[in-house]
Amino acid sequence: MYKALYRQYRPRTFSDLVGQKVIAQTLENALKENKVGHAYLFAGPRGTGKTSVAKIFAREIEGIPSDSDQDTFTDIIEIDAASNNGVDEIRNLRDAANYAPIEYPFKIYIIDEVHMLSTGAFNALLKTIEEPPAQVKFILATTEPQKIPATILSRVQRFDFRRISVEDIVARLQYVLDDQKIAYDPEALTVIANASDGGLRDALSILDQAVAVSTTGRIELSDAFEITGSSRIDDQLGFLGHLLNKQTDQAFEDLHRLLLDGKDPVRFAEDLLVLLKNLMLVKIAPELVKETDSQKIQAFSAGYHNAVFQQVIDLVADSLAKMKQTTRPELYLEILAVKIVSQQSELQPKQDAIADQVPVDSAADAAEPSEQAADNTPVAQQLDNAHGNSSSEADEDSQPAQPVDQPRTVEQQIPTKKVLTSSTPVSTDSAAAWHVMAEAVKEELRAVQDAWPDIQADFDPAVLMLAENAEPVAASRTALIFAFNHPELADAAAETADFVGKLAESLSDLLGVDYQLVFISDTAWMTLKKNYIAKLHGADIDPPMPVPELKKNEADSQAALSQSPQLQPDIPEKSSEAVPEEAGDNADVVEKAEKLFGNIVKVKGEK
Amino acid sequence: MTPNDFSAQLKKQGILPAVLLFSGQEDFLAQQSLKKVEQSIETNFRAWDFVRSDMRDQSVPVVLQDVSTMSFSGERRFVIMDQPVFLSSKGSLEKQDEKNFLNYLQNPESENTLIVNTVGIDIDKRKKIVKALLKSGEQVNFEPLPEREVFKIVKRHLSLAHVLMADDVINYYLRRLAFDLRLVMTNLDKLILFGVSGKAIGQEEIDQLVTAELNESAFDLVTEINRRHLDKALQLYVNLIDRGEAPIRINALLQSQYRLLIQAKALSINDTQLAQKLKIHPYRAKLANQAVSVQTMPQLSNAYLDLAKIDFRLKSTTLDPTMLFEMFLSNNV
Repeated sequence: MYKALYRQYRPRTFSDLVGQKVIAQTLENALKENKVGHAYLFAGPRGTGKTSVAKIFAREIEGIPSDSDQDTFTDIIEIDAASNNGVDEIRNLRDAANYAPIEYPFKIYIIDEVHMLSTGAFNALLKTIEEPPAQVKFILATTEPQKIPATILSRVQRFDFRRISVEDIVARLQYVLDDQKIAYDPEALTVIANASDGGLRDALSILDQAVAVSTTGRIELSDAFEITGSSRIDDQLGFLGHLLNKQTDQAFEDLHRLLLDGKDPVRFAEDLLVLLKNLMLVKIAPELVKETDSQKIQAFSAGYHNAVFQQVIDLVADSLAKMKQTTRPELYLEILAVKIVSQQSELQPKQDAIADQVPVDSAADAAEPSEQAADNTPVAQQLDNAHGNSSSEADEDSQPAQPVDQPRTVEQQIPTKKVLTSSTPVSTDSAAAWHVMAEAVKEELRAVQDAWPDIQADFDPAVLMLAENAEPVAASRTALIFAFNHPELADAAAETADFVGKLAESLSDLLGVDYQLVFISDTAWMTLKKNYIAKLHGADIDPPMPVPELKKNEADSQAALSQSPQLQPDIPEKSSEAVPEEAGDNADVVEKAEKLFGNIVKVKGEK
Repeated sequence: MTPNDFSAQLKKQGILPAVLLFSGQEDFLAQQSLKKVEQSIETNFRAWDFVRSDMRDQSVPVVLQDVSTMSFSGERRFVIMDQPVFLSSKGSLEKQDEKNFLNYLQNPESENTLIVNTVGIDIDKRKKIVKALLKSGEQVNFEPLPEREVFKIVKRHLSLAHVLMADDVINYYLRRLAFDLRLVMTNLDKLILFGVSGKAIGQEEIDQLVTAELNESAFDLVTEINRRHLDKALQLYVNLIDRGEAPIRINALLQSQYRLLIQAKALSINDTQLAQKLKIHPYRAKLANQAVSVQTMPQLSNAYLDLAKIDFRLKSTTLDPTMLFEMFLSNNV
């Protein structure tokens, strides 16, 4: 009869034991010194040797030689508390404990999964455990020590078993395979050991299956993957790489290939999650990533900022929860892929979207294409410089070319030039607004305000909400500030090409001016106005600092992605709130701002 | 009376009072004293002359009757009332029982001794019966031993067993168990068994053999994070999870540790002042100040906020707690 590997190779002596050296040593000493206690508790995760140690220890107490072929002994009584958890069973045990052992010097009760006992059963056991008859010993084993009542815990000698290290498990698997004369690929063993999560029994069970599955008579890496259901790191990295580079078609090809191979979509998503975690972890502690392909992980990780991984993790975790509830998890895996790709494009520069969506034939664009182009050319160079040398002037000058905040953190893949093709200039930061206010003209504003209801009425229902929540608040001859009554709306509006396009068109139609648009929030506007007035009254206030992210250089651009979209609207407010303090020393401002906002404040270069 | 006085009196039994009230919090010492009482009685008469009654399932009249009965051997009999919850604010006695008890206290049997063991129970001193007990009985107070004493006891046990353990390792061991005498003594058995083979016991072995108290583990965790021993920190975390600690709880403890660090950073005063101000153990104050010296305020508050985020995620998602912790490490080291 075939016996599972984990039963064949259950250790018979303390020296056979894998891991738990200190515990083994202590128990051996207790035997040697003849100081065996009357009750023990072995706690620890499954497959770490609790039952094995209990059996070895019991045999040693009884003085049974380790080479004895017998499996069961009359005086070593193994009880599975999971199925004998009632008071009655424990009462029977208690009564039986009073009888003398039959063959051996002691009666030893091994109670496995002892946490499954009912409260009544525990109480019935209490007295016996505290003072058992001299010839009786108890060994309790459990995976969940926290469920054991304190009254029991204080009466037993407790040993906590630790997970077995990957190296120890691999060594044991090698020993078993050598003993069985089966050839193997060492990497396959690492995969198995990783999948077993520190439990040797699990590892041996997986090995057992791998042996059965193997067609070549040798344990190959592919066998290990097939049994553990996990996928190759290469596959995972390939898929993730395609997603992050927005190569959707290739990502889908990867996905379908995996599904055709019979991989479980849920398992694949879980693997992805682990991979993403490792990608983050490898940056600070490569030694903690015990996968077979840690170099590949490290190389991949170097290409991205942790914030990217973190965002993908959120998406994967979301999808994973849904996948577990549906009958078609593969569908959600595909949705996940699309989501990751689209979030990538959302995070990355928006200029494609705006450039594509704003109708090129709109009156606004047609009116002065040459002027824009002329304006933009020098800015292109300055913008390029701005990434390196961080000067606020560069920012202010580049306003006409700045569609929204995000594009300033330009991805490497996307040529910087693209920014300039955007034809509807919208800014959302206070620096731009300040600029407009400096040249504000009352009549212009009045004209716009008069026309505003008409313009509003003209909007599509789809974007009408944005228009209803906006109010023109200041205007110069060439630029116009809109205040939105919620910070997030200002950004949302700037990102909605339909809204921006229509607004530009209407303004151009009704007033004949192609305004440069600035969208800010109400609150930002109020502070700005206050500061501006203060300045007019002679206070020494500098214009708000441009949005910090500008100063990042190319290599760092990924870091900006860590600013989740929701955070963005806050930034103009923050920088404008910092303004009043700037009257004093600059360093002082930084200190104060840090006091107020903690580490969110980032100082990026001097002005 | 102190526990030591009690032991001394026990040896010259003649002068033991008729009613004793064991009070205080250190249950381990009280149990030890009771054991001494039991051992002071001749083996043949032990079952008769040493009676323990758990008052949760024994009525007062039965015990009173018991204590009024004379010993066959002519020696002193001891009757112990364990868990007298009726002396706390949570329980009460029936009128008749209380009256009987009060009567007994006024005129106790001087040949026998009644020990009312209230160790670990908060007695309600406004109760008539408690007042009477305090008046007519002798009180033995079992307070937790000072840390110095615990250290000495451990050291004595070790040297008796010829086990080698350096002083700083002993301190490490005691701190891991928060100087809880019962835990210290039960775990000491294991350590001694390991050490009898002649090998000196180091921190490594203690980590393997002794399950640390949860709060101490959280402190260790923060210490390891600060020392940038990530593998150790992760190991500690996994061990805690394996022991069945709820991730939310571990997270909360971590948060409280970081809160302490932020306080220490903000106050920036010396160890003793910090310990006094925040009412924490001086050793912790020392560690906190050490940890804080290498960290900036933004780093600390960042970590704190990150933990808050993890807390939210633990409660709202099904993400693996260990993974969240690893992400925390990767963000904060």
